[in-house]
Amino acid sequence: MVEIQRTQSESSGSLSPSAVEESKYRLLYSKSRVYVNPTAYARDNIPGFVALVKREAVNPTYLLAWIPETLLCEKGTDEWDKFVRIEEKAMLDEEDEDAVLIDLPTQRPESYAFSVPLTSIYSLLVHPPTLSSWHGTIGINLINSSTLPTLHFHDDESFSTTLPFRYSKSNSTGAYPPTSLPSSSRTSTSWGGEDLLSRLRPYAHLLRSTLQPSLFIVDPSKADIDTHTTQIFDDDAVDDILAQSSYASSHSPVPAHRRPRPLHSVPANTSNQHPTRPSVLHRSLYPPSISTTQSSSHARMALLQSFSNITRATRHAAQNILSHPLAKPIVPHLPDPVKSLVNANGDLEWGSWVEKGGVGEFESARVYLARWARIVAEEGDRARKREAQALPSSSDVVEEISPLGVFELLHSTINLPSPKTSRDPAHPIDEALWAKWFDKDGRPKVRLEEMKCQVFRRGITPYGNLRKKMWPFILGVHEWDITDSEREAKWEEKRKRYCEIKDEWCGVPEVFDRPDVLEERHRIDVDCRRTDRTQPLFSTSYEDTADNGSNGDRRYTTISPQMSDIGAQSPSNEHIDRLAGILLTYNFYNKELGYVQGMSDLCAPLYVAMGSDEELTFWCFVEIQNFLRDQSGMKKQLSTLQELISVMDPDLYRHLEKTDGLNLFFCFRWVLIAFKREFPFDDVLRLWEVLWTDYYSNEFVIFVALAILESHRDMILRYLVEFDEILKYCNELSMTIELDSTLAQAEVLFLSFAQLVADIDRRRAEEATDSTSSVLRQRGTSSSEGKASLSKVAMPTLSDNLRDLLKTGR
Amino acid sequence: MGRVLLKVIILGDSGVGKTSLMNQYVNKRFSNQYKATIGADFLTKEVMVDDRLVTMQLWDTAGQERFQSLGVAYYRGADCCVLVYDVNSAKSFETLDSWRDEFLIQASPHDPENFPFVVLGNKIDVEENKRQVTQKRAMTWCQSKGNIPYFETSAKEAINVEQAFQTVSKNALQQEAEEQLYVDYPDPIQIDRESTQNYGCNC
Repeated sequence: MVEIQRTQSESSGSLSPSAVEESKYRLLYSKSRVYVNPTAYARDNIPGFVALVKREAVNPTYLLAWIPETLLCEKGTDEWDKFVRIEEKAMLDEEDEDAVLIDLPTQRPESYAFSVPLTSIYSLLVHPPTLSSWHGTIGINLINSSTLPTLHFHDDESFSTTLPFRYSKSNSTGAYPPTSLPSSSRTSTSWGGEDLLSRLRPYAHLLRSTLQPSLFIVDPSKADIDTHTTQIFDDDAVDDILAQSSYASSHSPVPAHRRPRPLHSVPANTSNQHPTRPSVLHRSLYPPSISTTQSSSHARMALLQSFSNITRATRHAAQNILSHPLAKPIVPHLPDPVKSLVNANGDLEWGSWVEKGGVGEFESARVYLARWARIVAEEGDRARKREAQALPSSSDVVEEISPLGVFELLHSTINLPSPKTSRDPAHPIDEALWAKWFDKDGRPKVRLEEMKCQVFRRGITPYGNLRKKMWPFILGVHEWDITDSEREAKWEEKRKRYCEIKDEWCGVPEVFDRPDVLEERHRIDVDCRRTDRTQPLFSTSYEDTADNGSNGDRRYTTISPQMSDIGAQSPSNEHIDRLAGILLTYNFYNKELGYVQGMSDLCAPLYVAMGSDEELTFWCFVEIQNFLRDQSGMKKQLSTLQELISVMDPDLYRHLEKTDGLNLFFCFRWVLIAFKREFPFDDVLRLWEVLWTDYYSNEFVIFVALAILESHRDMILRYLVEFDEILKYCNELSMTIELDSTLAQAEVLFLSFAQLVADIDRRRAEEATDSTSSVLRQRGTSSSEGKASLSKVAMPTLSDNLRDLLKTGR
Repeated sequence: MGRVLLKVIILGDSGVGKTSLMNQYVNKRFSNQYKATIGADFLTKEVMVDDRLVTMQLWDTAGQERFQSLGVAYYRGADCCVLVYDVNSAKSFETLDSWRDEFLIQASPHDPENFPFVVLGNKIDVEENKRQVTQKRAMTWCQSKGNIPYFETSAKEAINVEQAFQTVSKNALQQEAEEQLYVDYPDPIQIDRESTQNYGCNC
């Protein structure tokens, strides 16, 4: 950590213009094409130089300044050249032997120019560039709690960041303390703002907040340090214990690449490195904004602080944590080896349960750790929300507890509005509202799209049988814009049609017992007997009801083959037989497809929601199958998801690539049966009606999958280094996923994706028309080719699969 | 000597009890609430084999034939394959041949002739008069396939499950040791075959 002794204590707050004018100012660093955006319109943006200036004196003052290009121009070319020269020098990391003295322009409010002593800056809010906002920003908060205009780093236009040879030179960091800027981070991650931070470090202590990683406190007070360095569940420390456990390091059978990652040599809480995470979503993983966390998160901090004790290998830390009241809800989720610590005596240490186990426990330990870390994080989040709700409501708090949670900060740049979820699942559509949407003759007063929009946002009440009424409309079994009597007539046709198809096999032994039909009956029957047996309709068996189906014609009302054909299976019941009958009938309706494992999972909830109405269930099922087939099979869906990950979260994509996980087989079950096995039955109903609306996308299910992966990406990146581990982790997410926050995230992800596509298209269009005029605009400091190649690298290409995600309606 | 990870694949028709057997062996419990396996899952268990502590990773996959194309991703690097049928279903026994062939094609072990299989006839707890496949018939088949070890089990009553999987682990460990030879002295032809096999998993 760089400590610059500053004996001077006079200056806090801006220098008075008169004092400024009399002094000698030495330009230490400058960077061009840093914009101030006074309005949301790009045409109003003002280009300028950001500069670090030393006021020569016995006790020198260091100032951070921003000077618009126009103001420099007024001063003449000499002055302009000084700034360009310093930018050039700084870029080459040359020691600036000869002092470059400048006139610091007078502050003029209308020009937005400013120069403030570093000692007057309280904090910097640093947002590196992301896929969707090309320009990183730095916000400057002063001690007197005023805020300077946010600086936008247009690195693609700036001389220093577009010059090709800068990387080769950047390894010599001799002019700067090596801790402040490791060469590795320099070569791989530099953007203008990060560079500026490294230039500031020799002159001020910059403390990166652990509460809000985008926040850097300048010369923090002791209180600031305490507040902003507490670790938020220091996972590295847990890894550390694992890595250091004597067993693991000396004779671990685990290959080196499967061991937990080694610790950084720099203690995490003093690391000032600014990692560049090129994910569009990376900020979503940061805790919400500083203004509210401080007031609302004490309980969470207490828990997390206890966790940080692990880092000090406190003997009783585990028990301390686990006995903390906030940890109580977590304990049931813990793996047994950890749970045993709750009751263990004080001699038991953390590493021991790892050592105790062999390879298997060591490996599954990582899956457990990942799971556990997630549960702790979620529990902390919930506690924070509870606290926030308990506070008197202010607009800030409302913002924080919106269902989006961590996604709130997603697009925080000025030019892009933050996407927000439109869902309001707390107020589902009820019978009264539904009735209001129709005339007396049953013709709807609202448009089909409006109905679907409402379903997407609010869902349908689980009470009564509204789903039985509404689902056939959502799925298109019933036509929308007709009257009741017309609808009844059409339904009568469908009902008849069902009976006709069913009669192809029902009561026709030569068909029913045909070998191919027998085989399908077998497949269907075996699965139906083990589908949703906890649902009241399916939970009983013929044996329980004493009607053991011995009557003669049961053979033709049910599809169960003889036991000799299907082997020993769970006993059936009337409803299971009818479910199987519906699926067998479907087999005659759609002869090419045949029964696919998973169909019983898709059909059973329909049967329950339709109140065991066979015809309605059948026709809804037909529509669901159409719905699935429209997406042209699993292979296309998984490869679309793969492409989506590569665009939305390149880090995760690369990780999956490394772990052989790009086939996304750990999402196979999710997509094949639309998360049927991942959520409790009632949630599945709520999820499906949302998916069927096709409100945003015909393939919203892909965004739900992405939302789940994104909310676990940190755990996956940190802990899971093999395909089998990711598979296990994802399988174990079943029944732990919170539906409404997942849907809210999926919606935000969709909106972000749509924005991204629009942004890319806009840039493409601009690029096409812009290639000549850009040369003029660049003032000769950067070549147009440089810009063009840069933007080509930054912009992902969008396949047809990805563009299809924006389609709605079939 | 270090410890090893043994990868075991459990195959057989839908509903013969693959998930149940695995859970009985690893978790010592039975439930008649198991659902059809969609995709794949695995459980791990630590066992002592010949004074060595080994970890078995037992892979449970979907029983429907049409999902077998996914097999490549899961079968690779297997050390033993457990074939399961239901003694009360002749059909589930008759398909063992194709399960075995399919496995050998997809996993493409170095020495298919000697790759270890174990056959389990499950659900022997059901009344004797429902039984469709005699012990003799099953053992004859096993002998004809190079003396595959055969066990009659009940996942429900925990009959013979432990013994069966002990044999699985023993044979898998032996296989693992032999595979190790190939790793130490790689055969160029075999490596070639493995690289062409990868096409299947990038969907």
